[in-house]
Amino acid sequence: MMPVFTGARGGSVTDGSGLVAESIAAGVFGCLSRGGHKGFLAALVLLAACGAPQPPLVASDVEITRPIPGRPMSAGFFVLENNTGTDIRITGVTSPQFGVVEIHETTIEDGVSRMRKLEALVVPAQGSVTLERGGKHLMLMRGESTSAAVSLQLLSDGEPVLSIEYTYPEESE
Amino acid sequence: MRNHFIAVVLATSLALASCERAPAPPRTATVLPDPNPVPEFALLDQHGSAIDESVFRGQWDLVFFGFTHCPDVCPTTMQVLAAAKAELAEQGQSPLPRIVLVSVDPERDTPEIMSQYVDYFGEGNLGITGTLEEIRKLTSGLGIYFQKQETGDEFYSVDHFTAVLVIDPDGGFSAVFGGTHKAENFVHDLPLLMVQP
Repeated sequence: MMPVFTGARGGSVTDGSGLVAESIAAGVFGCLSRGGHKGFLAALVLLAACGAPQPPLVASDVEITRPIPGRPMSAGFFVLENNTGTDIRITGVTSPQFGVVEIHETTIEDGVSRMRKLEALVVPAQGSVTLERGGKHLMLMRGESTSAAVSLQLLSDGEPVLSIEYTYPEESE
Repeated sequence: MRNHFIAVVLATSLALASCERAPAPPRTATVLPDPNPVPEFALLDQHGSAIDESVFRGQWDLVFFGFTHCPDVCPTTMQVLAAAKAELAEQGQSPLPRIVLVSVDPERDTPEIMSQYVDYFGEGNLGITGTLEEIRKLTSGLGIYFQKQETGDEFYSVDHFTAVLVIDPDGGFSAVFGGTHKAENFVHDLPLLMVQP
């Protein structure tokens, strides 16, 4: 099972599951072990050289459209970056705020907009995929229009691979 | 010789003055050579009131064909039209166009849902729905394509043209905006298009 990381708006990663913190601790310990105990300065140098561990999957530029009154649905857009050497297949998405979440793709050809459901979203190894208007996106349905925030859990063959927390921006007057 | 020179200068000045008076062409919109009358139909507005083709007479309309379950293209287009209208108002444009959404999903888009939807994008908007047969009369007459894509559940989609039509105050389809819609294109072109035919 892949560790679950929690991405917030703008792509910052927090230790919502605790697994990120564990990964960092393991990385520091590894660096210190390899560097021996010859002083704090040496440890710091080694820490910088080792760098912080990269989460396998990161979401950034997250935007979830605010449901229009009376319409219990919205759309989700973000960039997914795969830091591993293996393709990651997102085969499902769940959200406590929406009864149904599907991966869709809109295409506009010859002036005609067509939207189709995708069975999976593949994030290529060491690559990224962008969910955007007029392209691939999340379709969130049967929602609670009063929710101020949205939680998403991305699944790969039923296993959680990424959690995204999004808070709607303040509405301007 | 001197008279010939004066004649050339005068002709050049007149030509330049003529160029200055010529209105700039629309940047994005395609103008129809002759406005195409809106066909006859019997539908409902967002208040549930019966309307026909006469609803398109008396004002300039920007008409988009979409559906309220569309999460992407439709709200984006409605937002663009609302932003363009607001900018035109800021610039003192008068009259302002009305924004019209014709549902291509009358099965789900009841007048009540249409009301909530079009009101979300500003005041004075018009939502049109009704029977599929009557919607077809309107869209076919204007060359607008749409097709429901069955999925076997309530989450079906509808393929549809994304163009925005300009209907003049005589109820004539006079111009069309295609491609990717940007508010700046409407702001630039509409004052050029919205001259009484």
